[in-house]
Amino acid sequence: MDGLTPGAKHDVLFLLALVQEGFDSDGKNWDRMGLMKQLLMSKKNVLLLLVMMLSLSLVLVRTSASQTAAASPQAAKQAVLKVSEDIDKAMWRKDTGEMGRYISDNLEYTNQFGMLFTKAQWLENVRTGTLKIRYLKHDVVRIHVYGDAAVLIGISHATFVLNGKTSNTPRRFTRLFAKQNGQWLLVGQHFSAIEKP
Amino acid sequence: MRPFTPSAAKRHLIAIGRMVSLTVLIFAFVGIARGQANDKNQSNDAIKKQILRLEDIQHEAFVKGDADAIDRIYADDASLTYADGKMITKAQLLADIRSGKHKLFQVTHDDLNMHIYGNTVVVTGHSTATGTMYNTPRRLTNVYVKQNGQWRLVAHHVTYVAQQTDK
Repeated sequence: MDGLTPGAKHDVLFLLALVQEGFDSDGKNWDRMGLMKQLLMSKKNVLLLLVMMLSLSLVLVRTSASQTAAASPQAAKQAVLKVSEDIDKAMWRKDTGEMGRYISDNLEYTNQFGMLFTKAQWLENVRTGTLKIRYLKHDVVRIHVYGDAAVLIGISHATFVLNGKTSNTPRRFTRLFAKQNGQWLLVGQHFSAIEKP
Repeated sequence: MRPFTPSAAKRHLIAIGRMVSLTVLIFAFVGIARGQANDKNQSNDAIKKQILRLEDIQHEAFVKGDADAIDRIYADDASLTYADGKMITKAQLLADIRSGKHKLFQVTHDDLNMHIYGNTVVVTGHSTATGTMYNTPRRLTNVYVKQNGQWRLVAHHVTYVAQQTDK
């Protein structure tokens, strides 16, 4: 020990003390688990360990949730379809409160005349009767899911009155959905009249 | 130098373990927070520039008849709806560009709005284009989704803007 620097002496003494601590009460057998138990007896250490485990769990849950969404496109399609149907049912009932639950505040909606509406304008038109739905039938042609986004293509056979003008021509529509905070929301929709060949 | 006793060594080890644990925790939380902040910053600035650049590339490609450029941007299963309500596949679109059936002479987009929802971007706008297939003003909706680190167009829908009397 005489040839060692003060720092090295410190390290050697520390290791020797640890080795001694690790032996059982008889001083014969090395008791590594006993030493671990003593370390774990410290309440602060246990608390830290719990916090670390909780953090790790949160990360794992978040990862698992995103993987689940990506791994079940069929479930996502069903969820998107239901939201789309619920919007139509609520619109038929003129229940703008229910409609609003499924529509993003940033929605932009282009109708078959090339008119652009915000969510607020659309709901206001339904609420005030500026937009009156006489008949509503939407046939879904296909749904594509891209992680937290979905594109629904359909044909609308609705009859409605907008600003006093009746329209009943078949229309092709694209509805766009995004999953936000675990909920699928309509973020955009676009209609165009299907011209006769 | 005061020699270590077993109990002093144990206290020392506990203290070291505690410091290491705290350091790991701090780095973990800082790392997560910085990662989330970076994601949001990117959505605000870089994403809009990337999408606008893709819109410009498409315009050039339709004018030049560059089907390969469109091929790189459009997802294979993209939903493409024309103003007359007809749908075409990406393969049909590429064939129409290559054959010259679908060619634009000039295109201008204005009143562009862009909304970003994580890895999804919805673009709406007004388009005035002249070409082989149409030359009337239209409203458009384009949807981009980030796939394998690249923005791909997954939906495109256009509608003729009706005369004022039709509104």
